Amino acid sequence: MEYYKHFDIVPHDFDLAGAMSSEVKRTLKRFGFGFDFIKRVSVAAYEAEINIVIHSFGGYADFRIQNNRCYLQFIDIGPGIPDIPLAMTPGYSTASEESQLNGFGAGMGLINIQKSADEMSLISDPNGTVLKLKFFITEDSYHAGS
Amino acid sequence: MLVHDILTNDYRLLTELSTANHPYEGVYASDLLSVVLRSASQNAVLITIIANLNTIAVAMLMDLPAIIFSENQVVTQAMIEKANLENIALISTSLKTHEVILDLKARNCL
Repeated sequence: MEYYKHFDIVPHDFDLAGAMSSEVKRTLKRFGFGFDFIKRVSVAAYEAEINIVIHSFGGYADFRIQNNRCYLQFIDIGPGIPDIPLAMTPGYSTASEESQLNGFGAGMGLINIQKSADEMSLISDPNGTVLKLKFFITEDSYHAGS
Repeated sequence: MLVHDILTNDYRLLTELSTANHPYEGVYASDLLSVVLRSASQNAVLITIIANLNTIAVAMLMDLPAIIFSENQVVTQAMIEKANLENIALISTSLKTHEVILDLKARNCL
């Protein structure tokens, strides 16, 4: 099974936020994956997508299924995460008041992503952030409770 | 239990009638969407005051059949259309979140 799709992510557009991750979920469902695998991938996709909407100057995502792996890559054009370990601290958030009124800013986004993915790589500087996620596809990925 | 069982004079179904025909298992209440993503169970009804398109997106991602918006939160037509498309029931109530939970408990709807 092979699949690839590219998504542009518009900054600060809360109405469009979730469009990419919704499509990721629909695609995984169409391919017959189980609920838990779909949940892990789509929760990570949603949190990463929202991070770009809330914090970045704009960016994009690539979703790929290849060689029994599911890959998600998120790239934005800044302003970057100054202190990644601090950003990974549960409850720490720099989300604006507008974001908080929209239900974001729990300081759980990166934690949810890390818990969901089998592998995670996060690189950031003021020019932008690159987040790469990998999910292993096994027989269990197709079972409801996997 | 069916979403329809929740409806009384205190709860107004905003989406199409067919969206209330889905079964549900318990409720989950939070106003932080990341916490919903972390903790809500599949088929739970979400109770929240966060009323925007992202609430619908989260319900869709988590397979939640219904959202109860407490304290008469404003629900836009765009939200209703999206929820109808995703077959998610949107319910509005003037009750506060804890009052909804107490009410559902009293009516054996939890």
